Order: sequence, then C-alpha cells, then structure tokens
Amino acid sequence: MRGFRSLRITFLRATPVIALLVVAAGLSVVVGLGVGSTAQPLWTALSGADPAAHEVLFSLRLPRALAAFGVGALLALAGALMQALLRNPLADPYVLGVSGGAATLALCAMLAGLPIAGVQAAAFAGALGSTLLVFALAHSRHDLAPSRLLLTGVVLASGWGAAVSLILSLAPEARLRGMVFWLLGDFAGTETPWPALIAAALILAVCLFEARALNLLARGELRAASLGVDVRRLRWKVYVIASAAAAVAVTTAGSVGFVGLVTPHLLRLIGLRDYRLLLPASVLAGGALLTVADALARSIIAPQQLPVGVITALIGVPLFLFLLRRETA
Amino acid sequence: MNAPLCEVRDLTVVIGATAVCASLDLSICTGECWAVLGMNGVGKTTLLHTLAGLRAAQSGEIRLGETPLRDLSRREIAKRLALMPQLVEDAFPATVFEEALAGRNPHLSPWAWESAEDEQITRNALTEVGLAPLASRLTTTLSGGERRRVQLAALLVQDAPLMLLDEPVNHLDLHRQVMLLDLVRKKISGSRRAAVMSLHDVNLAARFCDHVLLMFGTGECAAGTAEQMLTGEMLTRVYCHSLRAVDVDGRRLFVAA
Repeated sequence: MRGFRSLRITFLRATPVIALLVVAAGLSVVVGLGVGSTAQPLWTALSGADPAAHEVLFSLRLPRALAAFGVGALLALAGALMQALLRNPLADPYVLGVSGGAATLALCAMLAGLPIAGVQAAAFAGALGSTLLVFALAHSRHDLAPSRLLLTGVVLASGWGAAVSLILSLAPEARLRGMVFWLLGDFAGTETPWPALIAAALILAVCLFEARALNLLARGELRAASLGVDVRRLRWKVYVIASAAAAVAVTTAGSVGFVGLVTPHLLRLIGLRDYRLLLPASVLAGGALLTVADALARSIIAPQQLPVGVITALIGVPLFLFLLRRETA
Repeated sequence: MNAPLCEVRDLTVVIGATAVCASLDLSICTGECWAVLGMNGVGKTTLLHTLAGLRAAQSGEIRLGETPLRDLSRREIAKRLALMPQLVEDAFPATVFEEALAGRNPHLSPWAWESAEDEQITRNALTEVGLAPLASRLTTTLSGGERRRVQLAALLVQDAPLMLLDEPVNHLDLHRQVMLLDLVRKKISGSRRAAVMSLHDVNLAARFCDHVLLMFGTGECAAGTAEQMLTGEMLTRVYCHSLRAVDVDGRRLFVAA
C-alpha cells in the first residue's frame, strides 16, 4: 500500500537527518575554533608549535565555542518545550518574560558597576524571579491554563521592556555599549561553558522520557489526557524545565534572540515533527547554529566583534522565510 | 446478563449554575450501545468528560469494572476507556497516520517506539474508516468530516472496552453518519466492548442504540432501554418541544411537530 508512510519509515528517514546534524554540530565547533579576531591556521595552534596560538585556542576559543553550543542547545530545547506547553508554534523561550526579567536586573547591575559575575547573578535572579511572577499571576486553583500563561507572559514582557528602556535612557554613555551588547546577546563575558553544557545534557535526558507525551500535549490537553497522559503533572514539569533552560541560557549569554523560536520550527519543516526526534535534533541544530553565528560575530569585522544576536537574526530570518515559502508552495 | 464495564452510583455533576445530573445511577454493560440525548447546553459533553475522569464530580462514584475511577492512573484509565472528543485542535501539523497511531499511546511504555504491530493496527483502523488512501496527508488539509473519521480511527486504535463518543457524526454526510455508527455497532456486538455517544439526531439514536440516557436540563435524567426511553412523551420533555412518533416501513421515526 503506497499511501502509507509508517512511522518506522519516518524514523529511518530521520536517521540520516540526525547523522547530518551530528556532523554539522562537530563542524560548527571546528569553525568556532578556527575563526577569530586573530587569523591563524588551526593546525599550527593544535600542534603546539606556537604557544601563544595554543593558548588562544584552548583558553579562549574552545570555552567560547562550547558555551555558544550549550546556549544554542538550551534555547532550542526551551523553545520546543514552550511551543508544546502553550500549543503555539510561535512561542519562544522568552515568552514567559524570562529574558525581560533577566535584562532588567542585569542592566541594573551594570548601572551599579558590578563585575561580570555580579551581572550574571542578577540576570539569573531576574530570569527566575520573572518566571515565578508570571506563575503567581497566571495560575489558578493549582492549575496552569496555557492561554492565561501566554497573555500574562506577553504583558509582563512588555512591562520589562519599558523598564529596560528607562534604564537605557538614564545610563551614562560609557555603559550604554555594554548594555546594548548584553540585550542583543553576547559571549564576550562568558567564562566557562560548563553550566550551559551540563544543563542542556540533563534537560535533554529528562525530556526524552516525556517526548511521546509532549507529542500528545502539542495536539491538545483533552486529547493528551484521554490518551493516558497526566497533563497537569506534565505541564508543571515542562514549565519548570523550560524556564530553567531559558534562565541558564540568558545568564550565560544575555538574551540571544531567534534561535529558540526558529530551530524547532526549521526542524519541523524538514519533517522532524515527533518530539522524540525533535528534541535531540534541537540540541544539535540550535547548538550548531549559535556556534557558527558566534564565529561570524567574532570575524566579520575583526578585530571588532558584533553582538551574536544580530547574526542569529540575519541567518535565521531569511532561512526561515525560504523554508516557509517552500512548504506552502 | 453481561458484565458491567462502567457503574455510576449516585453521581452529581454541577457546572457553574447548571445541574448536569443529580444522583444518577447507571450501569453500562458489554455489548450495549448508549445514546445520550438532551438539548444544547444540558451538559452532555460535561457528563462524558466526567465519565472519562477528565473532570471531578461533585459527589458519587464511578467504577470501571471493580475499580473506582479515582484510584486509576490516567494511563490505566486510557486502557479501559477511550474518548472521541467533540473538538480537536491542531496547532501543529501531523499526518492522518500519525494522528491515528497516537491512539496506541496508553499501550506503550515511555521509552518505547510503536512496533510493527501498532502500525498494522493503525493501518487496519484507517482502512475501516475509509481513510487508507489519505494516510500520509496532513490533518490540516482534511475536511471536517474526514477529520471526524481520523478521530474515530484513533479511537479504534486505542482499543479500549468502553468507547465514549462526543457528537461522533458532526460534520458528516448522511451516508457517512450511517457508515460510522454501523462501524461502532459492529465493534460492540458480541464483544467485550460498549459505547456511549452523545447525539443530536433522535432517529440515529433509535436506529443504532439499544439504551438511552435522557437529560432534561434540570439535573434530572432518565436511563433505560431504547423502547422505554424513546417515546413521543419522553422526548417532548427532553426538547421542550412536541415530538411525534411515526412508523415508516416498520421503523419508528420521530418528527418535530
């Protein structure tokens, strides 16, 4: 029967896609290592013939490339989770006000002249604080209704936006540049890749266990519940995990836009609709996308650096529009 | 006497200011096909959702077999009863095959992928509802009636003894209504299954159902065999509008006066 395309075949067809994404992820890290404000061949640095190049490679570029990979993975995971939770393919990791809360407190910390560690602590506190605030305002009778959650998050996010504008308009000239970079997302201040990488690995492992239930949740709560999913428990779990992922990402690199929204979307458009494939693919694709974007941000107008958020938007928007047109054509 | 699949004792369900049912007693046994009749807004959907354990009742008890519903996990409930909801959202695209295959969920452990057998069950169900040629189409490209048939296929795939169908023939052409209800009857007869469905059409209920639950909208309900329940007098009370029984070729039909 030719009309049937079984899931097994879908899975077999997806295996090359996943393999391709693994290769792309590996290549992206190589690009991240090879590209930078000082041009030097990768092999001389690797061989250790030039101690200075060796130093640049292993204590500057490697941690930064890995941090970019981890943050990209976290944002893509958080985006995929939020989209299932809110049953809205246009939801992004920041939809519940995570980035707004983080930005407001991070800019306050910059205004007060705190060091990078202080800014990061403020960002993390702001991200979690905003998530808790959205939760406190949106929940009713121990339950989370997606529509209310979405609206509360959107309204709160615009409130944070106003606070950010206020801080920017009051900030002294000398601090403005750093603030704008933070708002657009930037890896210059990142010291260690481990929090982002470990969080991404843990969250992927936990979510794979719920992946089939997420497929059903995305198709509606009534349907998920009648097919044996404990919807209330799953919603809580997804809410907490996605918020934590977004908070770690924002703390590591500021609010990098677009990766979380567009990565799961791109993967769906190339046929990875099943969350059991979509989640690992999101980790690989989101990580690769942000690693390459960061390499470009460091090299396009080297030795000057661009905010990585600008690059993610410049790559993502046309790619997304192209795939969308191809899909509907 | 067939074994009861679902027993309802002294059930009271209230939604907002509306009493859906008060002290309802009901026994649904294998081989039975129940129709739930009542006016718009009397709570047919609410009652079906309560039976499916998707919302709590004010008081009373629902048992599936020997076990109280509230002692069962969602997964265990889903193995014993399946619900075909009235409305289905599709925010994310899925193929007809994927949509129907989702019915296997309660039978799979969390890490498992669907087996070849699960896929065969799904293919059979799609063939039964006449959607085999559309298996790889996205559900977003289907008509309303075709979507109802996808939902029925998913219900069959779930393979639960008790089938709850909320307005199963909405959006369907006349011949498809008959085909769908014929299929439901075929699944029940001589098997361990039973069905409860809310319907708008009294004549479909008379033709396909052997038992009827009437909801009068005041919390009062009446349950019994189709012969007892489907009379002009009873239905006039249900719809607050005079209904008359006429005989056509030996079949009893009801027409609004």
